[in-house]
Amino acid sequence: MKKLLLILTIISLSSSVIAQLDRSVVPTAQPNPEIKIEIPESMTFSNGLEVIMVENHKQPVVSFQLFVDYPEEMQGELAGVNSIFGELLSAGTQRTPKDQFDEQIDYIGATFSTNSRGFYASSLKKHTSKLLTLVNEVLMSPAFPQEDFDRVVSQYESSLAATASDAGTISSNVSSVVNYGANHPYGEVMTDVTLANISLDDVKAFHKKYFVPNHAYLVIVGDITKDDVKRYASEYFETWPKGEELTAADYAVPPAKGNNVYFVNKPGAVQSVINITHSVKLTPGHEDEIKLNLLNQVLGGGSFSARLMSNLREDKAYTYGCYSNFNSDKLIGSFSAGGSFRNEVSDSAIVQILAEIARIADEEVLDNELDLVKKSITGAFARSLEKPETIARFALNTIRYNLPADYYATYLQKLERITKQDLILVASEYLSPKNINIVVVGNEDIAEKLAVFDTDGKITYKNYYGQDVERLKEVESGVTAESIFNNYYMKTMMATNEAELADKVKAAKQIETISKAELKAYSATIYMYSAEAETNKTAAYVFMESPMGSGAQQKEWFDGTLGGNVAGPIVNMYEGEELEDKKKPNFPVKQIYYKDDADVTVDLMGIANIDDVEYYKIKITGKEATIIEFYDVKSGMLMISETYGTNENDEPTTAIIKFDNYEENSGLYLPKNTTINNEGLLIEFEVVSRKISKKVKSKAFSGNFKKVEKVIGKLMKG
Amino acid sequence: MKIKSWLFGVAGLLSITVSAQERQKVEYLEYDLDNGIHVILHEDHSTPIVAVTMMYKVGSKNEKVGRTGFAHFFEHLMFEGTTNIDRHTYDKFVEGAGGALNANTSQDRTFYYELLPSNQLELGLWLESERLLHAKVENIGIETQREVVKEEKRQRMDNQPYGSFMYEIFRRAYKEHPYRWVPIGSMEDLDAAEEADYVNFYRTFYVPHNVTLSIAGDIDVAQAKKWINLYFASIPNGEKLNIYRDREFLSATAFNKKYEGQVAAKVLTSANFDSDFSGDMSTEDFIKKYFPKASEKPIAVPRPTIKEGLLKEEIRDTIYDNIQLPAVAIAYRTPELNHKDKYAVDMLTMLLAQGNSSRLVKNVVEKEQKAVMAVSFPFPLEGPGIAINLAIANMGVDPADLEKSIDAQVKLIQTELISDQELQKLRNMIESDFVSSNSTMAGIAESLADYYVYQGDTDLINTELDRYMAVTKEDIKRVANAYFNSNNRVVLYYLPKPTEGN
Repeated sequence: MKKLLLILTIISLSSSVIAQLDRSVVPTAQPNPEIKIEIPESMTFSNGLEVIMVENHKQPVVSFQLFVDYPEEMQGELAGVNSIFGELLSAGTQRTPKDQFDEQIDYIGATFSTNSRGFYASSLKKHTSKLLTLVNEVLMSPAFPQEDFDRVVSQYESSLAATASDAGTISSNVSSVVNYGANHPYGEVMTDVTLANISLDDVKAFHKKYFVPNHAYLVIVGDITKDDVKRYASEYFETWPKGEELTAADYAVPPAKGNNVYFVNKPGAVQSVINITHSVKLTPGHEDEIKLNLLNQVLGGGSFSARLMSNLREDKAYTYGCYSNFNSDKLIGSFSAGGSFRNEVSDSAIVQILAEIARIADEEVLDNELDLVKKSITGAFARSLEKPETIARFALNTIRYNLPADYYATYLQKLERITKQDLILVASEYLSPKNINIVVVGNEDIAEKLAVFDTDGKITYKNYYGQDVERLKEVESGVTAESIFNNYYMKTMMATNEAELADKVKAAKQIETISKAELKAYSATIYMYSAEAETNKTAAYVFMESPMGSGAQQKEWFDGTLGGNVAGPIVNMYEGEELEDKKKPNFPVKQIYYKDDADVTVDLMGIANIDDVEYYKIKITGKEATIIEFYDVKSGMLMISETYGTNENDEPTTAIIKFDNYEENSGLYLPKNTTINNEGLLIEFEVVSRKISKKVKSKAFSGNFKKVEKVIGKLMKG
Repeated sequence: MKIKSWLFGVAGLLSITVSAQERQKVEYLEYDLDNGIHVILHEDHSTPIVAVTMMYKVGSKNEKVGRTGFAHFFEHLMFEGTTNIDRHTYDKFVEGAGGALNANTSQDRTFYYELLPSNQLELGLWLESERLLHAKVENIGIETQREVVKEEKRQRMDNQPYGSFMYEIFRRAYKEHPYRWVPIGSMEDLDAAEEADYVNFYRTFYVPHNVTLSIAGDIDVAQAKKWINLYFASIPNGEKLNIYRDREFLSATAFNKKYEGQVAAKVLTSANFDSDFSGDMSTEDFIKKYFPKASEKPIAVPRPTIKEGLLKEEIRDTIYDNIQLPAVAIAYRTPELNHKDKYAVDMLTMLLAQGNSSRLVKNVVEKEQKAVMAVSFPFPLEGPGIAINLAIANMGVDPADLEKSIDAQVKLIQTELISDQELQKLRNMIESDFVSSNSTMAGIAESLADYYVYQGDTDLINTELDRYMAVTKEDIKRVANAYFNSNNRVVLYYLPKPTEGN
């Protein structure tokens, strides 16, 4: 039988030049090619600069990459100063102004670009010394001209404004903020506010502190020899003076609690950019990194057969691409999974991604999956060696992360040894599918559908920089700021029609209130007397009793034409604009007068939802301050008033007042509790007594608080 | 020798002379198979990898009105499988071999590639030969990929700031030519595609004489040629290829109905026909038996015949998009790729916006601060092309003002010859780009195919630099006047879409 087969084969081979091919047979591979990796050793220049050189003589090109590995630190109010520095580093040198610098770089057909950690410079070999002459000037004496600083800042202003249309940037901003928190350098985002804080001096200070050779690596790749490098060292690099040693600070990230949905509204979006993510403690070169690389390749690496891609694209057609990623980092790494999905399937996509994450964390991967990804990573590793930059990167990582010298040479052996049991172990250790952030940038129409993914059912709305925003519902038609103010007025007066109102107005011309607050932290008790009368009379008296002593803290009065205040020993009589402002009518509620006040604009912003209560949110912009008021949609009463102004030194101030427990007092409906939040100090007042009179009679309006002092004195004793 | 203060001028010019021979010449070998497939091989053993690529000369310009986007959609379907490769496994063969694969579609061509360890060359050849011979497209794949392509369009065009600018330019820059639509096509047309479209498209364009097989990497040329012969020379062409595919994809009844009474066919009603058709008989043997005289003569591939000259008057429009910063896009119509002016137009766009010292970057972006970015690039096509100046306005800058600034720079080039020094700068940039290009096997395989398919001269990979070096200052001024004039352009303003409320 064997013989017969053999003969048949020979016949068929000879009968036609093109042997009839059995196309259903998959070709087998030839023997594996050998993969050779030689990691070059680094050299250290006299100023501490570490140099890695990878020779490659295929093309007469040489590139120089400088990477200053200064530790990550928070820049706080100056977030983004590193980016501005990175841009300005290419703004010429003290010897060669920017225009000439650009001209000279372009003239030799070179590439020179800078970033916050250094530069990349490349040219044909024959121009290398010209290129390095310029590079040396950048190292020694960058120009940092004011006009280029101004230009770069203005471009950043524009590009920050453009963030609103760039879902990818928004998603990455929000992801960093929620993964790393506000107290971590990775949680910092440059905003228009921090940009405005940055000055040229800040950039220069950043340069001085961080741009130092003793923390830097120089990676040289191309048509070059060791002798060349030695020559370049003394000529162009060793004159760069050493800086101070920098030590890395420790930063903590907030632990994730439950699943949290973060939504950013991008009007007009036709797709949602979804990123499902959490921070991961994973440093480069950690023994688990290769395992996680394998795990990720199964879940959502770059291939079409990865689970996310095959489920969400090839099976369900929700997306053009869905990927996942583990990112290792010296400080803190991250896991993320997601992509762009059309609006209608955004929630279904989240269901599938979460399910795939849970599945890979709970169940062992299949043998054939593991086999496939091992082969695919091996291949990708081998292919990457085509570029000399890969070897350079390996060499840089080896010294930067202090990896064993043979880390990359034995990479494939380490990969081969990994079992599916190893994968389930790292999956359960590094993935936390029940404590994960779900960041969605998309059209607000889909937002409500996403609440189900949040453990406590509440979506956190974010702006483009990752800051919290509240999301307002539209107000029902017919409701205006004026109707809300009017309703609040009628309710306060407990009147249902104009006739009742007229009676009430006659009966209530003056309101006097005494309230009390305990300041437990200071063992103090505060008494406050306040009086208002038509149409613009006001008076207040604050008395504090504490172990440190007792006494009047503050007095203020206005009798309709004159007034002033006393805080401690300082007496201040109202004059000028302050006086004019005091003269404006405000009794019994100031809101009803806004419509006649040319200095005030009123904007009904929408319905805000705070702790499941709906409020009409109204913005009142005046000359000195902006007030945001919240009226309970159900009761119509004013519940919260936030005042944003400035103090004498033009620093912003915030005062938030909350009103609670409205109750009837002699025919008026007034709050029993008032909580004042003054720059974080909470004072909770409760009404002790309240008097409503037909006549305006309090002497306090003209600054005479004798009677008030007596009453309060009695209260304190009692 | 270190030149401290580096003076421009004669000394500088003399010190830099073009010497293209510095780059190693890209050696290659090319030949045609009998069925018309063009083969290009480049051997390089520095890394044990190989790039196997197939360039089909079909793109969106070969589409019909009402079926725009079809060529690209079809590219997606070409990963669905073949007679011998099950659905969802084409990519797994490559990944399992440690390789990577993908494809892309332009106006003029569709390009498929596998990057493999060099010991898997045969696998790559098998996969690509399967795709050419008998790719299988099923309804489930069609419906899935239809949605995937729509998502691709949303992601790249609709949900991307300024993402529609190529679409908006092309639909105005051409009146008749199929370049007036872009490869991604329209949603409606994607929905309209029917079964007959797939069959016809495959038959018309996925034929041996319309493809170039370009391979670069760690190959043994003799062995590679043997395998190419085995997998590709065995693919029939012409009528025979149609019969081959019909035998595999049609039902017996449908096949019979189609070929009944055809001259080339032997009696299809014979007793054994049904069992031969549906049984184990190989398609090669089946054709030998029933269609011994089937023609292998290549069937001509239809190409658009429309000749469209330059524009005669300016076209101006405003596009409202989900953006924050306005943008100005100015597109000039240029000649086809093979026109002698291509090189001067390329250099004109470099003069405008390559490098920080270029005219637009230095003046419009840095000095006048009218824009956050400005680019200028040619979009050469086999048919008449375009070149685009595009700038995104700085905050608060009126796009009309920005347009004026850009135009002023163009005007300057039209009226004043550039300096010798600036010409030399452009030449040095080109030399640097040219020498640094083609550093990867995938890049070399694609460049070789590009030069052959578009310009019919594979050796341009080594010699094209000479064509740039022949361009004069006068040429640059001339093409600036000939093509970058206001009667020959489309000007688009991108403005933020007005939003409701605040």
